[in-house]
Amino acid sequence: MAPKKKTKEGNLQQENILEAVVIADSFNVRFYPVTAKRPRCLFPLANKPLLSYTLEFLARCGVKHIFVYCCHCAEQIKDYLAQSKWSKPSSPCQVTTIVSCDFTSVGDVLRDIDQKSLFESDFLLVPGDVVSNAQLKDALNEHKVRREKDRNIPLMTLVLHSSSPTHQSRTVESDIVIASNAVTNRVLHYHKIADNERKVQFPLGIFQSKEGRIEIRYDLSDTGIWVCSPQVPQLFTDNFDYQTQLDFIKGILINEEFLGNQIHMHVVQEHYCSRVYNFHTYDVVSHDVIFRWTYPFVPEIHFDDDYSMHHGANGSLSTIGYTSSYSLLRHNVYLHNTCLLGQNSIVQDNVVIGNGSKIGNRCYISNSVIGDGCCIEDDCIIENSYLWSNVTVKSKSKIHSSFVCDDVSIHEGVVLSAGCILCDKVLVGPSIELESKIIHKNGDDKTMGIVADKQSFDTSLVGENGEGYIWHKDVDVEADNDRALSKALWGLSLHDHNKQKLTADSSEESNSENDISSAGEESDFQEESEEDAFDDLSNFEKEVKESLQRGYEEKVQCDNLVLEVNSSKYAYNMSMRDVIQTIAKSLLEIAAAQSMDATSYFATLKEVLLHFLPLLCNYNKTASSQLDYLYALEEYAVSHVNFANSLIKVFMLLYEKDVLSEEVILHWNSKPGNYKDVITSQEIRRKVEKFIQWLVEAEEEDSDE
Amino acid sequence: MHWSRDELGDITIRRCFYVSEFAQEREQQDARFKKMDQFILDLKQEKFNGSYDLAYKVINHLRKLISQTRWAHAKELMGVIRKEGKQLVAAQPSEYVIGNMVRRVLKIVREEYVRLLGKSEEFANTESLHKMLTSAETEDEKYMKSLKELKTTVMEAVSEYIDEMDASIHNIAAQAIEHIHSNEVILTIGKSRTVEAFLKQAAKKRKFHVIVVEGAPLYHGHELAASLAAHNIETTIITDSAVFAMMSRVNKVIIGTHSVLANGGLKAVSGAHIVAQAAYQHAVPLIVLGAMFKLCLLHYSDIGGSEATFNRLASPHRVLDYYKAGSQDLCNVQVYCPTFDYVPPELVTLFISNIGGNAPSYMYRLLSEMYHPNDHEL
Repeated sequence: MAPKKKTKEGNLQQENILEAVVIADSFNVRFYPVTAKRPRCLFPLANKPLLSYTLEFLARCGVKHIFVYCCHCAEQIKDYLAQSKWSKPSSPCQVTTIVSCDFTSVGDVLRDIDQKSLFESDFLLVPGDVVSNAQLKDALNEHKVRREKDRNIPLMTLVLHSSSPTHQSRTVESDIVIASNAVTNRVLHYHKIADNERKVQFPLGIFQSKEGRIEIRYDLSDTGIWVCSPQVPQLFTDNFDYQTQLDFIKGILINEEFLGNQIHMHVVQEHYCSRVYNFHTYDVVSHDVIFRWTYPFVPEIHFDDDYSMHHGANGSLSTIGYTSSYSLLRHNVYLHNTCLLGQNSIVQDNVVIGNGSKIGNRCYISNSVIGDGCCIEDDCIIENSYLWSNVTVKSKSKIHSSFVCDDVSIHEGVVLSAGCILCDKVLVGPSIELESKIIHKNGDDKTMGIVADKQSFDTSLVGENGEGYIWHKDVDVEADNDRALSKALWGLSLHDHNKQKLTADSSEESNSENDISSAGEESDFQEESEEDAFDDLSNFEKEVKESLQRGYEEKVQCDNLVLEVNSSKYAYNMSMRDVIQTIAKSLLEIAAAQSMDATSYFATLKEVLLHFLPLLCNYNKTASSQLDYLYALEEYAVSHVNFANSLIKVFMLLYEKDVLSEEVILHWNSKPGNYKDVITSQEIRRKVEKFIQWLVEAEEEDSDE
Repeated sequence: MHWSRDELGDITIRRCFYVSEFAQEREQQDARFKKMDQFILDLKQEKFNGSYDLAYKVINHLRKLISQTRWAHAKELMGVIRKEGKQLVAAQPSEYVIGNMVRRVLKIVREEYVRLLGKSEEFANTESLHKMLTSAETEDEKYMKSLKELKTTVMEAVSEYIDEMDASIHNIAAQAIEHIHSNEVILTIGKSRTVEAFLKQAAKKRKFHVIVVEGAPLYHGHELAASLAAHNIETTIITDSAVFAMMSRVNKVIIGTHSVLANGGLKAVSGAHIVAQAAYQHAVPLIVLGAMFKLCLLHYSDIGGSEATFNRLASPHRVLDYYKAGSQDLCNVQVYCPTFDYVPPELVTLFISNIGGNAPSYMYRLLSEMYHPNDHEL
């Protein structure tokens, strides 16, 4: 209900109570299998539950009544809220939990709100994973002012956060472009950029409006916070196909003309506002908390329940827990007052160590969060990792860039690296190396109904004393969009992704869709390694071959093919030598595929070579590249007798067409390669002997004259 | 037994009355605690405007606590205040003024109790070996007598103290004429309301020049400069880095402070230490303005170990925008934004409070007069 004129104070207070809905469920599986038995909003972020940041943020904004909608693991959320300060009489705001397992999307939640008609005035809609220190006062006021002008048209205000396009906190999932009116802040177009999209289209109509300037912004990320008018839930009921927020925004923008609803936006600039919606953002937001961007929601300031204001029944104040508090040391190191650090242990930068954790001697810890009650023995190295509560790490283990959940035991000499995820209660080791593995121990009823005894664990993968299963990405994920997104697992920001996208894009022209996605999935996870380089080469070869094949079949101009090959070359960062060898091989393979039998082989080959003559000339300009080309031919010839037999003719042809110069051929002849397959390099030389002799004679004749 | 109808009705009504009274009382109590917790929440959210405002709010809160809670004797009252005080301090550990106010109120309670008993005030203050041995009452019995008038006298004394606080800025400003002379060049940093009032008071009679150090990254110096210039005071703004260069022409440095530590050192706005060092180097006197309630019992060594309680590291967004800070090339850069500086007492020439000017070495004496030694630890 829009506030009336401020006449009576009592009346005013009744109406100005600000209410909010927290959706404590993501309705997706980004964190699976970690979220199998734990809701995302209870993930510890710098050792405090994520939900407490959200509620605290709302309380700070002056929200008096919060409805928490929970679905997955609703009991845990309820229990948490029941024992937290939010359910105590001293709580700054009333928190009501609404549980239903029937909700499958945000749309369902809003339809439920409509059914219960919870709100008569404006309210906030907030996902249960927001971390922010922003004051939404401005956004609320702006919304109110707009609503006062016209009660029905302004529907809601999106709260967005500005961050540069290369910002760490941006991921593929929140890659949006927004067109808005710079004066009224009205959102005209909202587009979420899909994974492989390279062009964004805007409806022409938005530029033809006469009022104000139009801004198109790519420096915004969606915080998921909406200031909603009471009509919003109704619209969800009317359009029962709306599932996500995105559906709704799109629906409203498309139907704007005849329904007259408008969406506005408010950009948070000064303050911090981010969401935790996948592993990468968990990493980024944790860091931001440690770097104090979220001040005053930082580890050493109690805002959680550690410090509870408890009143006895008789009104006297009962004792306050001072037992848990962090102290901040230099370089953003937060040590809990009860944690123990062994001798010669080094705690470098940006570390949080939780309540009652014990660190052994000579450990090295940096850029990590260690939860409550962890026990880390001597000589361990922990970097860029997150350890939740009650994790045991035996001596001489190394944990890099990994994510370790509650009650995990890591035995001696285990090395975790590059995005390992160990779910609750997993045991690994001793002396095993794990890289980019997800290990879980969910007694999944469907797949393994039997009680898991030690024998059923694959000890070669999780170590002799290990308990846990490797989780494969594709097993459990439903076959929808999630699948494509689930690959953005750990440590992949938009920036990284764009780099990869560039590579993938250049291959798009010649490569089939399938190949791109598989290549992309593989290269997502791995650091640059030798394996990768090898993959690159084979991918490159494949691409070039396909380009040429198509070029031959469709008789494409060689100039265009050169461009294509060059772009592939840069995409995979190949040397000139690789390119030449690849081309040589590809052409021969194409010819081999075309020809029916041995007799017609040279004819087809000649045709192919003549067609690609400009291309060959282009790449074989220098002597060294010609030499590379010759060796490539030789390499191919040793394994293909067919070709070896016609090699002399090929040489003749290329010599006549000025692709190869005689000096190079002679040089090649004098230095046989070490190829050996069906026939040896020496035999190859014997096969072209006549041609060489002819060349030498021709040269002598030349010099004679 | 036979009850007449009337009697029965009477009993029911009375019972109803009791019940409703009880419920009402509980409701009131709940409402009261809600209000108090609201205050703690406000503290946490930094809903106060400068340390004077904070002190005022805290002492008003304590006054309400004294009047609204039930207590039988002074000891119980002190227990109540202490408990509440602990929570308040925990809500904002870096604001020492809160602790000061709590201790001050405790001291008032002690004084009033002793006064009502008819003993001299000195008796309550001084702790001597002789007294410890000869004293008839043990620590437990002390302050246990219930005195009817205690509540009113304590309330009066607290109100008196609030009045004193009210007047403190005025009292400090009144001393301006003695310290600022004509045609002097005064340097100050950031914005302190006390300094502002002090300079404006002096400007009524004298002409002088003020150099304001801007105090990055908060730039409160700009506000002060604008306010002084509007008051027809000749004002110059300089950057923090220019302090040393400008110091040679300065006659006096006058700064405000967040709080004064027991050793006479200061917890002041960041940048104050550079100013103090430069002043020391050029033998320019450094005058610190601050009301008595800013004087606290802590030593730097008590708190130096933990930056969390001494300094306040605010969000770095004022130094570097989050917009840029998260980008690939900057993600490993650490950005700090400390709010305070510690200025050691050797660099301070004079401390001017509402009761007059003192050397920093005299602080301990003032402290022992202001707070009772038993209250040092809440």
